[in-house]
Amino acid sequence: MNANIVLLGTSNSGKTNFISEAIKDINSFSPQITIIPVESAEITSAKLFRNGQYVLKVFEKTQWQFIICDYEGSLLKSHGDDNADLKSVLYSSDAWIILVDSMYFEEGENDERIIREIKRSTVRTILPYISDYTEKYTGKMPELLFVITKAKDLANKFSSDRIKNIILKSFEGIFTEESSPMILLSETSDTKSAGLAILSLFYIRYEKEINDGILRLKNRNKQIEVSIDNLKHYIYGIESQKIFSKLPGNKRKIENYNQKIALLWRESSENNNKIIQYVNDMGLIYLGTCVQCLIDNNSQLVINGFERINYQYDKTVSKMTECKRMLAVISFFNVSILIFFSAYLATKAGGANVLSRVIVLCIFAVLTYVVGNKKAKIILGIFAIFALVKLCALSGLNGWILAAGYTVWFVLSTVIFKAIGGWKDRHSGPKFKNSLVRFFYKRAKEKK
Amino acid sequence: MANSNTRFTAIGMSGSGKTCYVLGMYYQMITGLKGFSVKAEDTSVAKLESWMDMLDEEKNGMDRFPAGTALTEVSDYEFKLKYALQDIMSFNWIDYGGGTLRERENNPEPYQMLLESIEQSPVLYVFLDGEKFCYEDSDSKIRAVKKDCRRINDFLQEYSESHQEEMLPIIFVITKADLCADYVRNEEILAIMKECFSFLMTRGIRCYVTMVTLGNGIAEDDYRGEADPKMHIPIFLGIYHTFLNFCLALKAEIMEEEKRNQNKIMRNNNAISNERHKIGVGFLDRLLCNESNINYCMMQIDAANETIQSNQQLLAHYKKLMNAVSSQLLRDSERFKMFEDGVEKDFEASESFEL
Repeated sequence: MNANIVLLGTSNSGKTNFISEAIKDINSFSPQITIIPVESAEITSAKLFRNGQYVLKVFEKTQWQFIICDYEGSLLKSHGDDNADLKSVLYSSDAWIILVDSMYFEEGENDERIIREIKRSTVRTILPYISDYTEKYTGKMPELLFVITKAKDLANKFSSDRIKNIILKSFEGIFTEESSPMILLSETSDTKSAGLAILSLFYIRYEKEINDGILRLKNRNKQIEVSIDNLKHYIYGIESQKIFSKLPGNKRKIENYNQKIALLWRESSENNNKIIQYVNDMGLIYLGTCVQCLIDNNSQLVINGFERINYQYDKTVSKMTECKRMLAVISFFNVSILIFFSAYLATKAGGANVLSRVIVLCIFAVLTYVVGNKKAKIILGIFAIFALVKLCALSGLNGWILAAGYTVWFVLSTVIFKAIGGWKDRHSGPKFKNSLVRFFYKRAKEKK
Repeated sequence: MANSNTRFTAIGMSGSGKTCYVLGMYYQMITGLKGFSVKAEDTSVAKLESWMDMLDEEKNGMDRFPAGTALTEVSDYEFKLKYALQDIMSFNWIDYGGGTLRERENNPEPYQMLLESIEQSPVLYVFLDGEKFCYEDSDSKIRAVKKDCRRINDFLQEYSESHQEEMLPIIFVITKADLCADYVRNEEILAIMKECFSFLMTRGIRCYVTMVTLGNGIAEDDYRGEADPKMHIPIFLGIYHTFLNFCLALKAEIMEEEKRNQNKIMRNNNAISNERHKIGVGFLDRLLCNESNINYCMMQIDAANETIQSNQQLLAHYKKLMNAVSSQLLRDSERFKMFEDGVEKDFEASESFEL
């Protein structure tokens, strides 16, 4: 998948910084998602000073080749041949990150004034380019993501709703009342979102491509169903002609129709397999989980519009996190009682001869438990129960009473241990059952 | 998009603010208003942008404003109005020098061009200098406006006599509202217009009156105030009339085509039915029941259905844009007045919602 991203911002809005931050951010986030610069495309204009080509790899597989264009902000105000290079890059790109300098928010309480300043300094310059793009692509808008740069303590001074309203009103020439554009703060005092911006754009594009593929196949399957119905209808029509249906011409027709039906069935089942492949695409699963965890853990940066990235990862959390030490103590205690109990029964039943066999069995049991596989443990468990029953039978009534007592103790201690909810480790946070989610949750949390 | 040769022509005396209106309207609309935006075509962009930068230089006082259009000069600005960046229509704003009417005997060429331009315009804009309204009593206002608009009045009278059957809607734009708004009471406007343009108030002509400004505080501190133009209403009124006519014509055309396509579908359905009812007899069945005929008819039906659907989508698209324009005007209806036959009426935009 190839795509170009353009940063749209006036002079000093922070374009160059944003690019380097984004690459740093993504590369430090997960070893499985990496951005590698490939080369810089040829630049003819002095002001269009970077047109970097990058590759985004997920699981070492190249998922996205993209170009991020950087330029001198004043170029946006030029006309004619002066910014022809920039225009050609702009109009061939798929996603635009619009940078709004947070200094306009310094106007403070008066939102009208902030809006007027953003309109005057940024919108007036940028909107004609967006307008030209939609004209060029007959009404289609590029994917837009608004980033408020240098936004260190903006989140403390302005609520998300207020920032959203200011951006919506400033760019009211683009949006109607029902629009909900993606708006992000570039950074707060302790976290940055440059990587999230790039990954979000990539995820949206990736998801769309996959959904389009699924939709295309589903539509084709619907067409196939209709075609099959029609063919069946034709066959029924011929067959209902009674005597005439046996004529060679009609027989041949029915044969042809049946062959066509078989071919269509095969195509439909192949399509279903492809749909399953699309749904289980590892790249999407990995990226979706990563982006969603970042969004979920950085609510102070995500101002608006990110609900469209709604990746449904498995958010279930293990109900209790059993403390291993506690479990070990209880297990040791129970096993000790069991060994003691077995030894006692053995001495009662037949002296040293039986005792030595029980000791061998115990050692064998412990070894199997430590190194054996699941099947071996089950077989050994069954074997041990039989051995105990045999010992109880050999040692008479006392043996049976002791066995019953031990069983009651074992059940009771386990129930008590479960009832108190193990020993919940309060410092580790929720433990997601899904290892991928656990990984990204932890990274997003660390980043925060 | 609605046709691209729509022309809006503005007349008004020198200094009435025609050129400033183009600047102010562009200044306001380039950054958008409730989903609407205006884009200038390449030929006009550089000039308008340098004017905007000039207007932002507050320290320059009166020198921030563009110079008036020279007598022999005719400026043609090409714009496109958009809603959510979708094209509504493109239009040309023709700006004539204020002296064109006054000097028509000495300079017949621009005057002739002005007449031709008005002939092609769906509405006519008449600019009235707001300073002429800055009097306390009504009589003085009427006197000043009458005096200033003598030439315009003569021209309009002449024009209305030569276009008795079909007179354009006229949009009166009172400029410099920041100066005159305090002097003009709402109920006074009808009386002033009746007095000054009495012949327009009796002949079934639709007129609008609205006030515009480059900024409520622009005249403060010797014109060093902040520019914040409120100038969209006149252009929206012009667009409303033009775009409504376009949509009505489009609707009629689409209905006609739909009828044709429905007939086509019916014919082809009949043909398929006839073909299917032929009984296949041995090797003759191929001759009798021709599958390729059926396929051809089905293709014709699909094509007709597709045309109907795409036409309906097109109409729905324009209806949505028309409704957006009408709704914006309804939201702003407090800020302009509409007269028909000299009677003030509410702007309801019912024609557009019935599309």
